[in-house]
Amino acid sequence: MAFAAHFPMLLEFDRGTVILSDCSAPEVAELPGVLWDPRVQVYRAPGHRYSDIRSALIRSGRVFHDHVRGVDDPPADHWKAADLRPYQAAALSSWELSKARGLVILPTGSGKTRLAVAAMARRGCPVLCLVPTRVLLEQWRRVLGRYYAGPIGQYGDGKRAREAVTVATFASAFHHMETLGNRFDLLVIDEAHHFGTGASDETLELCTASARIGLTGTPPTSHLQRTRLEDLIGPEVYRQSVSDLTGEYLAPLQIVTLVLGLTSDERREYEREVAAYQPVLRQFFRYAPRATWRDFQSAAIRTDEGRRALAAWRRSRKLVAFTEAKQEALARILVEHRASRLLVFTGDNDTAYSVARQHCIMPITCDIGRAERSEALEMFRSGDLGVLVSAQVLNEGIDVPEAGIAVLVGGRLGTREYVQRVGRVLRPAPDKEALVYELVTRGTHEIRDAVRKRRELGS
Amino acid sequence: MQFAIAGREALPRYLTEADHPWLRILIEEYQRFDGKRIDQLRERLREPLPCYAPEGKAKLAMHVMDRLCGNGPPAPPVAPRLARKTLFTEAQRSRGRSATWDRGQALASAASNLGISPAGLLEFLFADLPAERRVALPTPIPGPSDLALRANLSLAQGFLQRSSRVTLEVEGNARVVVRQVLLRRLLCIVHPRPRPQTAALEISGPYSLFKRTILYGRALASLVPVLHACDHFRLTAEAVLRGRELIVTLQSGDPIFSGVPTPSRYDSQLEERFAREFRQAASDWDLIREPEPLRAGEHLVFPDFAIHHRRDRSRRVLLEIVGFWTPRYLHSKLERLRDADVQNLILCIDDSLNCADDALPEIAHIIRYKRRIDVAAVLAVVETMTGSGDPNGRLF
Repeated sequence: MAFAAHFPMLLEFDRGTVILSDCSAPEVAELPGVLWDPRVQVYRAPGHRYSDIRSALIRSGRVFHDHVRGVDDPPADHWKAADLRPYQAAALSSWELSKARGLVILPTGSGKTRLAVAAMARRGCPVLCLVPTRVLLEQWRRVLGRYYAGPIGQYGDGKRAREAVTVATFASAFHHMETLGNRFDLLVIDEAHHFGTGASDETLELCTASARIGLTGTPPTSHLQRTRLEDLIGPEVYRQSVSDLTGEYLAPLQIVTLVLGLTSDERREYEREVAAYQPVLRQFFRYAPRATWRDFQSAAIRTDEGRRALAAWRRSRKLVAFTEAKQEALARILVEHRASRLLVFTGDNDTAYSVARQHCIMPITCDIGRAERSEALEMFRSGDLGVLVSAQVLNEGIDVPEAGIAVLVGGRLGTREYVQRVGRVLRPAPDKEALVYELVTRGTHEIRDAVRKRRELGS
Repeated sequence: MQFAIAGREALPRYLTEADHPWLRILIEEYQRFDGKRIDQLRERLREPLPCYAPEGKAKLAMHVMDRLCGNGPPAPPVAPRLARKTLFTEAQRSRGRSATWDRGQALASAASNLGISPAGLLEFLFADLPAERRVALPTPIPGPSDLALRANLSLAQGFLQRSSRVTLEVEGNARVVVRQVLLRRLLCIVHPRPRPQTAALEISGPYSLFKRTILYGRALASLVPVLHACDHFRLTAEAVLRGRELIVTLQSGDPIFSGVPTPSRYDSQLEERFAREFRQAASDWDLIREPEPLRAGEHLVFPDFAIHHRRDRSRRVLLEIVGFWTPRYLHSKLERLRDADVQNLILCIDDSLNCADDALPEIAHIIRYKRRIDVAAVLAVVETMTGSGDPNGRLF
């Protein structure tokens, strides 16, 4: 591409986009991602095309003024080096060789955060870390505080403070990337599998940071999503599985499935609920054999009969979520492992609160406030609390290496959630052997689900 | 989302009087659960109502009722957070002490430390969390028609939340709308008028150029209540609904405004008094506060008033009240009016500002005022400027 070198072009950041002004050459429209914006009579490109545009302009010899970047680099001496295990060092090298863009796939508990810290320290530039939950926001700030001496910014959980090193929840970043987009040169995306589906990809598209590192333990299987992630973050640059690291870098794992029964009252009630919804369900799938569960739900809510069926289905699931046998089994596990640190996972918040009431266990849910949640996690780490119960919040990324035992009480889980929950106890510690109890109810959907999840975990 | 599809258009299914019977029953259900736990109400509402209620509309109405209801926590004898900490640490201690754990003992010990009964401790353990808060009905409790209007507003906002750009034709109080658009960091482009005396504003975000994004949906939706301040509007949104790109139209007269506070229409008491007196005095002339915005180079100009004859809208003048004056301010204001190609302009200037005659422009008719604007003088100038083409036109 050749540009006539008349007068300098100006590159500016405008609410998540890059504006190219003072340019009349038609070749501008051929730059990556650039479109003519007839609304304001300028050329405009999405923020994430900034580095490509810059490179193209430099290659073409075009003179331009670049006013896109909005901050200065943080002082280099603020960073402390992080010790890396061999596979973490290999992942870092691989990412750097890939022009500091790419996706690193490592199992839960293998130290993805530390790898990201090493990448940040190596680049020494303004960095924005994106995390899915408020609990992880706190955790990242804590970990970064160990390696970075400067102030750490935060977007999310009720705070908005930008610093050269900032952590933001996905939701908060989505709403503020228009103003944050040009403030960072490195983007760290924790649990990167949340992106690439189109729903909130703008978060990454509005940011001009050229260096990007995505971290995940459960990469997407869909080809379309993988392709999108490659465009937004970069190609897969490194991958290790649980079996590659078990023993030396991950705690060895044992999964125990306890198959439990229903009491006669529970069985009667369960069968009554099943009898209420199953005929409606069967009839629907007889007429629409290729329909999905979602299709059934959409159809069911349109009629009183369908709504009653759905309500009965919900009650049946609630009933088996925390049966008397599960309560007894959990009580026995808690006593048997009273000297260990346990995480109890439930299918929903209601069950988490039931467990909390019944067994006097601190719940960690989205409803629990930040200060109380931090205090509870700290008490868990110190041993003042030996057990925590959670529905979703502890699923992803939360670092509790002290936890050696997980109890999966129930709930409708996808494979990803299952892998993440099992992964919570895999973080290594001296002489640690991870143990996962899975409580399932005989003669219900839970048996079928457990078999499927175990098979998928193995694969 | 409640709508029907006709070609490329989504037609909102607003709640109407026909929905009032089941809305009344829904409100009664909420009243039954007043003071009870929210999760109990939710469980009840998962079941059908005792009369026919369209599912989608009922969900919308429940959503609005939930927002209207406060969730007042009861006043527990101890702070729930303290109760949790006490109980769970006590349970941990007692669990570690022996091989057989006694829940009752742990409860009794924690309750005694807090000075309440074990039953009370369990009751208030999570009283501050959303699901266990109590339903607190608003005062006054909305009636079916009010609830229907609120639900309709919510529906209208729902369409805009799924939109990436909207086109808005607006007349009267346009500046309020544009100000709100700019406050939300959206792009606002004024297009040539499709009809005389209206402006078409294209409202979108910078990123809307590249894809149909819902990034600006929240900001666009928040504009709907602002439209209440306009005399007339017609909003067309391009929304992605049920996976299809559809056009949604909202306009004056749609049943979507209830309980939305109307912003003050006037900048000053002087303006308000002038408008009131003018309307009383000149029955054949219409006075429009902040008519359409005019494009003046890179700026938008909002004249204070437009005055036009009711039966001959070509007889029209713009009126600007200058209550503040410096030569530079006035010059800049007139420059913009000139750029906007304003023809028939009346400038009302506060006499106490001592604005010299030679500082005033020749493009405008000047009316000086002290404390109040003389409506008769304004009407006389209007008649002179526009000519009395209409034999039925009369001054007073």
